[in-house]
Amino acid sequence: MRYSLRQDIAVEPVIAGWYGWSYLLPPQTLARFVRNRFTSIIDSYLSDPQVHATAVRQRKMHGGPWVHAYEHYDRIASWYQAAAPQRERLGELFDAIRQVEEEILPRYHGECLDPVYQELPSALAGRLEVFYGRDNRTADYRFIEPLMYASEYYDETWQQVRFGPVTRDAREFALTTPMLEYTPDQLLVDVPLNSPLLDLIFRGGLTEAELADVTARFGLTDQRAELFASYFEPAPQPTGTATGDVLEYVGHACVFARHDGTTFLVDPVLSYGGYPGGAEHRFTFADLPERIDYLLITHNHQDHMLFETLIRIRHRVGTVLIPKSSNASLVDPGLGGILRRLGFSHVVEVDDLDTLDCGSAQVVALPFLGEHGDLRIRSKTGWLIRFGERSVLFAADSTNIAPTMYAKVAEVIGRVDTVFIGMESIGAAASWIYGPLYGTPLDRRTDQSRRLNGSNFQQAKDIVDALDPDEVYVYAMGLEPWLGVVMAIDYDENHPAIVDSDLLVKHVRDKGRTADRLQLRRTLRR
Amino acid sequence: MQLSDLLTDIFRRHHERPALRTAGRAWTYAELDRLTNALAGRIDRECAPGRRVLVVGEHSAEAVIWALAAMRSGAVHTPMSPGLPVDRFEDSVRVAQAGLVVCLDRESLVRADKAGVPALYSGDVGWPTEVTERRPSGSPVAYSIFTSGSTGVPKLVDVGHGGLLNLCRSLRRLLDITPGEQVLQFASLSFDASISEILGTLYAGATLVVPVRDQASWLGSVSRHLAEHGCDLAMLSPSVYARLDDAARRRIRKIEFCGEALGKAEFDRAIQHSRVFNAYGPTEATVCFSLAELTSFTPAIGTPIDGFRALVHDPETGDHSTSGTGELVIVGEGVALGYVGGRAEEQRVFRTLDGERAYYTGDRVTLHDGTLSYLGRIDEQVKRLGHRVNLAHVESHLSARLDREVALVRLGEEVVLVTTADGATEEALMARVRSWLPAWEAPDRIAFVDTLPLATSGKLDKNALRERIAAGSGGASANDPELRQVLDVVTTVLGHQIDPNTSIFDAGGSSLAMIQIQVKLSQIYGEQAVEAAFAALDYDFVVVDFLRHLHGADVVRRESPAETVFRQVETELAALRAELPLLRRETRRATQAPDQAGRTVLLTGVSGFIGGHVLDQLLPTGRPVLVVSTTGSDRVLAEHRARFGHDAADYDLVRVIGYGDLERWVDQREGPALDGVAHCGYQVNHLLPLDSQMAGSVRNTVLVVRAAAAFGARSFAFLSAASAGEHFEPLSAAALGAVADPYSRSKLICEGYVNALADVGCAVDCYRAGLVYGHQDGDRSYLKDDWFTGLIALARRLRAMPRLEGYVPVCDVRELSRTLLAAIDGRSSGSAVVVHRTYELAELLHHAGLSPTDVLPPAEWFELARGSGQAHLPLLAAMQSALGGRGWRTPQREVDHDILGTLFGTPQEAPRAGARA
Ligand SMILES: [Fe+2]
Ligand SMILES: [Fe+2]
Repeated sequence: MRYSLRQDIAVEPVIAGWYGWSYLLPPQTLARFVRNRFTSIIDSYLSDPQVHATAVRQRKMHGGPWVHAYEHYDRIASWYQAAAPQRERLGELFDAIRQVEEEILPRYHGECLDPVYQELPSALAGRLEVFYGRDNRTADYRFIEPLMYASEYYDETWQQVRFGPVTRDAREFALTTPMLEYTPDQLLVDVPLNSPLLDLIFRGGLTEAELADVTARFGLTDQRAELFASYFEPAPQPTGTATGDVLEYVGHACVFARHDGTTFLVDPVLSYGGYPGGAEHRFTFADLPERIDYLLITHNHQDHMLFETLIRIRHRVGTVLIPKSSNASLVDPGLGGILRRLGFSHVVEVDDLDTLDCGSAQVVALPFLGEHGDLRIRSKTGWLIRFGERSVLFAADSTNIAPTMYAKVAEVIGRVDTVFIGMESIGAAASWIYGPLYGTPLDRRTDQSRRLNGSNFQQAKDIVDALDPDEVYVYAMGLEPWLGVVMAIDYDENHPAIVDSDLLVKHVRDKGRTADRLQLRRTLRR
Repeated sequence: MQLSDLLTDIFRRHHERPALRTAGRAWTYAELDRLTNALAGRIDRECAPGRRVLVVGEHSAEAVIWALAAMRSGAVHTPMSPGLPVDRFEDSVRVAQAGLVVCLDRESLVRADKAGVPALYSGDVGWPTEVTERRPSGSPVAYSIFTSGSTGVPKLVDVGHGGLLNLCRSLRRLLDITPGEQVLQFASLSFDASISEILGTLYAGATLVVPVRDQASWLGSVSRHLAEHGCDLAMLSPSVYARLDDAARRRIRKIEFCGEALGKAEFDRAIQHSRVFNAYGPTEATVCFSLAELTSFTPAIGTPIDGFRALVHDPETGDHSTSGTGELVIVGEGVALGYVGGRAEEQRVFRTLDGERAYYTGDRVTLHDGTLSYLGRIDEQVKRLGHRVNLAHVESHLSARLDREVALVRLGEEVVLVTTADGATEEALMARVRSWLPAWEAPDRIAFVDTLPLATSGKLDKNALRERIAAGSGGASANDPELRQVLDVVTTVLGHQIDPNTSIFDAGGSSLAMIQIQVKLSQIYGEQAVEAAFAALDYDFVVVDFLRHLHGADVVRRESPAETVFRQVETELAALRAELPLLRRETRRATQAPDQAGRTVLLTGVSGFIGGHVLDQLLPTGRPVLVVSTTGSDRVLAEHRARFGHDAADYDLVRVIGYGDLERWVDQREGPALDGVAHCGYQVNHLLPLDSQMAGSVRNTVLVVRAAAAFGARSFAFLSAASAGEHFEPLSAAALGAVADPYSRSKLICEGYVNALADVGCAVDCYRAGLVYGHQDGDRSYLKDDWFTGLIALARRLRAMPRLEGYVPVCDVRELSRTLLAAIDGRSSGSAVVVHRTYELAELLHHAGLSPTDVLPPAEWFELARGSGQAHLPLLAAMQSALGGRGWRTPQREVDHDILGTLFGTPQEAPRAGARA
């Protein structure tokens, strides 16, 4: 008898006790989030849990700094106390960053920066490069990221996964609640996120002995071992692998394609199966092919770079294509470094208009502007894939803020047949993601003016008009209930994103072309 | 042609025709000619030619006559409202450099004396008859009209003679005014609409009718006059029209709307009774610039009348063109001569284009093929969330949708929807408004006022509204203890003080701070009230706004029907509790056959769907049944027989009486001994107001409860409704308020009455059933008015399903009947919610033969349903009312068979994605 993980068992990544995503992996950004966001969440919760209970009840407050598991006061309090040494260590790094940004660098206004290296706090000494910014007067710095990962501030023992059943499509917002065992069917296991043990579990088909071995290596005994065993079921008969060409929208910004036997998956975010009441025909992990030859990531937002999905499909993935990042700053940590620490061995970084042959298809990286709060962030790209004669663009949340850019791109790459475009035209304020990384907070109006907006109707229309595609699909809107785990959008038919995308669909259809706003799943071509 | 010559000509032409009429008094053109000539002579004696004569009076034939006299005199006719404050009166006299004031009332005379200006009191002058020699005036100004200047100081528009004849001709032709027609004189003389009423009527030889002021308000008097006498033509602003009684509106043959943009709501109302005209024209263009008859609603304001042409001006390029969208520029000799008083830059609206006088209106229009469409005031254009929003349009749209008057008022950056309170809360109204409008068009908040004030012009007085609302929000002073209290809470949380008009976010607060404030305020004002106020604030916290919303909620709570009803119920319940023991003690109970002693069951609702099934199951038990029905006739049993196919003999032990009979028995303290009561008789109607339910089904329930006490019942099973709530709590106003529709509320109230039976030792069970199905062939007619199956059927026809929240709780009628009977058999399971199986959206889609892509937001679906013409409207309303709540929240599966599947003939189980075997 062989065993596989049940379809409805989620394995959620945990870093330092919180739901794992990109900015919690590099130690420098983790230090910022722990001090600037998590500490204040827990402090306010411990001093008045009622405030959190009240907030969680109100839909409008969704995505705010609230502990959803507010009824587990004692558990959270004791976890928080136990995690104090970890906070203390990260606190050293936090203080060192603060010292560099607020005390050391501001003393320099154009003179030689050599002395800076002598006065760097020990947490950062030998791990930074300093230089002047564009004005030649304002000192700036970058992390030597591999050395940061090699430091005492990156500790894989802080990583865990939490097993537990998923019972419905909608997922609770996870970024603000400590990841503890709240219900008897949840199991928190200490294991680095890059552990091959996880691949073994996700690959499935474990023998009795393998399962026992994993259980032992997870340190699970007695009841906990029993609970762990209950997450498995007899391995299903392998079904025949499909081989035909297909282009399939599988939810949010995630699209699967197979062309002449080569498989591609863009911005993976998948749903679970095996529980009643889920949306019919949704694409779940079970619908993935054995092998994903190329995994493409457009940008480093948690709805496009979802750790939970990434680690679960890791064993199937050949090459990961990502946008190149050269900043190594707080707001733009290297995506390659993150993915490698996450256990992906073959990661290829590309830059604007780089072209790669990927099996039967060709991939071109297209410039991606906007949607990043005007921060200096390079790790973002659109992907153009040429499947033989047909070209498909995945523009993700790219905003057409420079109206002539796509026209110029079109001159280089030619016509595009199919365009996928995100139109979350009014996004969250930039501080919703980046706030904890700011040295000093922005005032509210400035913050609100720098929203993480996708294209609105006019901008999307200009893209479409420039690229002249036959088919336009609006996607990446967070319309699928399982996105609730990392997004908090309260859509109704009057939401600007809905109004704008309706207009775009109409505009394209009026031209006699195909257009739609995608939701849940759609097979676009076979 | 000079105005005085025009009038002389008019009087000569129509001569013996009736010109002016008021209650009990009429003047022919000839009479009016002599009279106004004499009065004009009197004015000329007192006032130098070319100076302004102020005529202070309105709403009487006498005032009209003096106005005509002033027009014919050598002075310049300058009507003034009698209602001005003293200061304003003096300012007006000064700005007008008046040579004379004609006062139609004593008070104005006193004011004129104080202002040091020569004055006449009309009562002193009387009706002179001597005709005097008249000299031509020669002034270029025909009349002057006061308008409000931007500085708050009055300003005059000097109107020349050039546009008058064109005005008269156009009105006659376009409004189709014929001699002998009765034209209403409504406008205050100080408003230039009165000029077109007077001149338009007289030029055409028609009769001007001034209603007599016999009500507290002029509007009331006019409304009453119209209801009684009607008129051929009325020139009114949409705001005034909206305030007329329906009886008055019906009797207006032709209505010319003027003064404000005509909204669809007013048009729709007017077109039912009248020919509808829409006029547009500023005072600065001799009253009327364009006029069109409307047979369907458009924002069209017609084509320019004779003597005018229209250009559109693009403020950005400075271009003028004859088509397109932009600021309307009126060109022609009817353009006024200019302003007197006011600031110098205000004169800039008057310019010369190609040698002709031009007026820049400040109105945004579209000019296409010579036809104008009104888009709104240029300064009513606001940019919100990146979109250009026309408040006038939104206003018109909303008043049509809400079917009542609304105003959108700008207060700084805030857009406030002002309307009259109608019992709905601000939140409820806001929710509806938000469901209709894109975010950028939705108002920021709603303010309720008692009435929407009208200015003298008959237009909605937005300035007054603005002041009133601003006062409302800023009215809380720092000394106000309540304001102090809220500010203290904010200070505690933020660690510093903030301005009560500032958002806490602008004051450095976070969402955490906001919720901390919410929790602390909840301790003071109650959780629900505070949460409602926060929702109304859209989770931005401003102290004064919070207090306003909190009090808004207070007002609504005071008026809440739930509370009123609860008080009433409490009183009645106390009386019932006192009566029940007496009934039980004092009633003589008879049993006919000794072997049946104590076995009789009282059953109601037999002609209903569920009650019928209960009787069906009761018959084989051989127990005597006392059926209480609304008719009291044996036909109930005949129908039951036909429905269930029983033998006549099966009913040997069944007796039918009416509720009246039962009441008599109870009151006479004499009747049959009962064992148990199954009360299923209830009018299922989600639309019936609570009052009707109270007088109907609830009253019957109380009677059945009294009967149960009187005739010694040991058990009582009441069929309640799942929509009354998932939890059994003591009856309270809050519990009532939590239930959305009157039907479910009435069930909750009935439960309260039924529970009183516990005091006399009767076991009480209330079963809150979900939607009950399991119809057999004979039951099909019961589905006719069933909102839910109606909804599914309609969804199937429309190929669209509304997005239902939560689950749909369903019961099987046979199971339910068994539960009810078990209770009166002494096998009670206690009061309970009875849901045998829930259905989720996916299953409903399956039963309707639809797919997830066919799901629409409810608002859209109802729109579609209404538009399709396929839906029975009351049923649709019932659906809407029933879907108002949040739906059932927990899935349930107590029975295996697919109740709905059987009903719809789709017996196969709905596919459930991802279900494990
Ligand atoms: Fe996104
Ligand atoms: Fe994004």
